[in-house]
Amino acid sequence: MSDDDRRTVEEQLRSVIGERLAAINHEPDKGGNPVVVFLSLAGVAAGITMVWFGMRAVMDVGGFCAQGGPFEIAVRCPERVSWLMMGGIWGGMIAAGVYAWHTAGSGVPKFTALFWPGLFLSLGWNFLEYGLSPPEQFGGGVSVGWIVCGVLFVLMGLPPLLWWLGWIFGKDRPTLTERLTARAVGSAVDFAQRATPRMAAVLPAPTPAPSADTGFIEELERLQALLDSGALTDSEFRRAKRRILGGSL
Amino acid sequence: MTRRTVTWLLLQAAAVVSGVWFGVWVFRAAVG
Repeated sequence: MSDDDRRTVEEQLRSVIGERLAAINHEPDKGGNPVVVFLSLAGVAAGITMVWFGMRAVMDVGGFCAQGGPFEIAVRCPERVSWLMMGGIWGGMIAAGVYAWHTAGSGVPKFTALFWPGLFLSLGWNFLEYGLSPPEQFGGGVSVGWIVCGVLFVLMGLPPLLWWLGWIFGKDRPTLTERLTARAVGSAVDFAQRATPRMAAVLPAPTPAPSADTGFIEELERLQALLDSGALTDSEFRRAKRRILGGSL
Repeated sequence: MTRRTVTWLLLQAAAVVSGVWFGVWVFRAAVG
């Protein structure tokens, strides 16, 4: 396949495949229920908020606390904070699942990718703030442990956020349809190039069909020559002539 | 950006603000 042939085939394939994919891509969305989207996203925001405030309340008493159970408790948790933390974590996770499930494949602009950065960056902020200036009752200075945790949380939360921002604001990124079309066209042309020589080797070469019009005239001329030379009798000539004319007509 | 997209964005912005407000309200009500 020459370069020109390849380009022609690629253009034709691109137009056919691109149209099909675009048609699939623009099938009507299944939409989204505004109430479900609102409540689930609000649930995620409320959950992260509760965990954020709960974490600060725990850090205000030194970062470790306990409540209930048969053990002697060194630092009692602020009242009801553990319930709020558990409620925030589980409620937020369930709400995030509902939001992700409900908006996936719909035309609703979705922010599922921001949940992870939202959680880790907000909690990382708490670690850094309390690490750089711990509560006064702990002697001031800095808390290296909390700063390390803060840096880790920022490292976990920031890359997905940057990826999301780059994805949203990327200028020249090809659409999904364009990427899929390019891949499909490349595969199809490669396949055709590999298959063509093998098909040529397997298929029988076409044989030129004998021309019936010229064939029987030549035979009649040869027959006439044999008659003239005396090689054929009159009756043999007529039988042969009838056979030739009968076969070609 | 279509009007439908803008409506969804506004709805979701309102959801986030409401959720944060609700979280603060629950925390204050429980812990004080």
